[in-house]
Amino acid sequence: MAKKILIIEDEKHVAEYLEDIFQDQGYETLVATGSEQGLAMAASQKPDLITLDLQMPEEHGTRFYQRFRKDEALRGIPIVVISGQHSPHRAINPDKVAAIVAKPFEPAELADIVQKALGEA
Amino acid sequence: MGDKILLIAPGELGRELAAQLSGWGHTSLFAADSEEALDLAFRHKPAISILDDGSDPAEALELVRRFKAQHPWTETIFLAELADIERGARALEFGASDYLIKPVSPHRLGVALRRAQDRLVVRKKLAYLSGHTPNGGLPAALPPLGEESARAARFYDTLQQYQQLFDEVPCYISVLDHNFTITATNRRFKEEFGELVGKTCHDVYQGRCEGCPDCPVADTFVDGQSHQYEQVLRTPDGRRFNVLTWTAPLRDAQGEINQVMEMSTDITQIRKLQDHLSSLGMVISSISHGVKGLLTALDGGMYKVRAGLERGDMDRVSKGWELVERMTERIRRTVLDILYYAKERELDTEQVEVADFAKGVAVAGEYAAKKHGLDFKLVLAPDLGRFEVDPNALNPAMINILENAVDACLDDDEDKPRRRILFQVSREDDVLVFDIVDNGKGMDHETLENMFTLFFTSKGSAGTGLGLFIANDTVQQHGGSITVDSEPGEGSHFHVRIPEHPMAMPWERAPGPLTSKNLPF
Repeated sequence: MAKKILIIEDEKHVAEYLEDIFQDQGYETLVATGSEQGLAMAASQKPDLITLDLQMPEEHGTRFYQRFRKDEALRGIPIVVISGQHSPHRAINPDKVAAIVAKPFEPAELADIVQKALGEA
Repeated sequence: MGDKILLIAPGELGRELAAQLSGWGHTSLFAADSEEALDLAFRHKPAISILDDGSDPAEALELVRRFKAQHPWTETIFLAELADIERGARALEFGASDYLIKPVSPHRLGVALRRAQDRLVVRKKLAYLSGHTPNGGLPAALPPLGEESARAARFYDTLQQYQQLFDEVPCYISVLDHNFTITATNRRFKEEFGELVGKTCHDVYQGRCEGCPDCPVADTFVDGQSHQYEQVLRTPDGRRFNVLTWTAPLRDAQGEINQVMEMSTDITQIRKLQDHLSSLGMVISSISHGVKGLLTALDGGMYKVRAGLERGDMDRVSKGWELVERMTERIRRTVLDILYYAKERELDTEQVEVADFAKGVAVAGEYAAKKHGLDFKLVLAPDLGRFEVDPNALNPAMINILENAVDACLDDDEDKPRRRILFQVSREDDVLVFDIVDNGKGMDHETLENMFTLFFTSKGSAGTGLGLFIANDTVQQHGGSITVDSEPGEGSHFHVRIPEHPMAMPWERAPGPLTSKNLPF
């Protein structure tokens, strides 16, 4: 069965872009445009991987990330942070996430990173 | 040139002196007694008087006193007997400037006269500098310079040079005493701040009635060191200067610091430039997230096109291409906004036909709308006349609002049969009214509140928060205003009012009855 990727991203063009990339790699995709929706979908859909935009309006991505990490059930899911910030490393401990990808990114590179994080490489 | 010399010397001595003086080119006046001496002095204003102690030495001394009291500007030389040398010294106490022991040799007389003349020169120059002259006017022509008078002239020149330096240094200089009272200012200072001698510095520059904390002048009084600081000075007419100020101690003859000098250099231009650069830096860093979002979305479009081409999926290609076009357009606008923001500008107004202006704006708006399949309608009221605007600033501002309406329609997820934009221009007395109405996604309360705030955007990473900020700024610069009426899901109505002439605008009127709900088409 295809692995499921949850895309948490408020900008619809970017979310669509990520869907394109992942679908072309044969993954199933889900999109959440806000952090609350993201948490809910992560809990209900049990994705195999989550991509997270760090600068979302309703709740800052960093805080969302902390909340997400506290949730026992979701703790095991690898997270790929995709950020337009200059140095997301300051907000996120790089050891705790699968990867940090800066916008704009190379689609092939991102596909590669996701593949590795899913343990498929 | 000879001097007038008053002789109060009887008989033979007087004649001998007169002969000698006239041989040197001087004119002698004879007085037989005290009264005549005072009278002649009053009428002829002699430069020098020579006074013999004569038959009544006590009366002679008394005459010296009276004479000097009435004619302080006349140099007085007292002639005394060797035996009465003591009286010569007394004469000096009474105001005589010199005394000679009789018999008087021509040589010693010559030396005494030369010294008297030198003293006269120095006194006249000092009087001139201090503004006091013997007759209240300018001093008489000065006699040839002796050694002392040359020194006096050098002193005078130096003094003048320093005064000139003080006045012409390209700084504002003020001198303060222990009470922070201004005791002297230079010309540049006076030009900007007026005559402030006698006032306290904190009162004048800072509008404070007490001394300022961390006052560098106070520090200089304490430690004798120069201190440097930056401050903002206010001129009496309300202008403000950023200045860099140095303090320096001024010491009296005993080496004690009795005053402190403040030298301020105008750095307003530098500060302005710095502010501008740092706000530009702030703009760039604030929009960097937005720009990255735009680039990522552009990548997304290109990815679609490429993937579509690889798979022969033309539907995907055309969707991708549409995205590429939209993102390219937004990037172009963002770059133009940044370029606009980067340049501080003043309005360069001209008389413009309102209809022509509106048509020019509409062409750009219609192009953007039609490209994405939106309806666009321009409605011009008749007799719009002319208005005085800077078209190079106002045109992009209005286009920005129109393109914003286009975006609002494109970003609207709801199903609407027609997405449309109305651009309507009318005149209310001397105010031109531009209504831009769309039936796009509308705005929530927060967006309405913040829409003109720098860096606020509702377009997620696809906006920079610059466009409407600049548009609003430009309209306000023209003395106009923008008000907005909007309902989420229903659309927005931008109501732009621009006075016929800049700065003649009744502010903040509510939007007219036209809203997205009653679009006339």
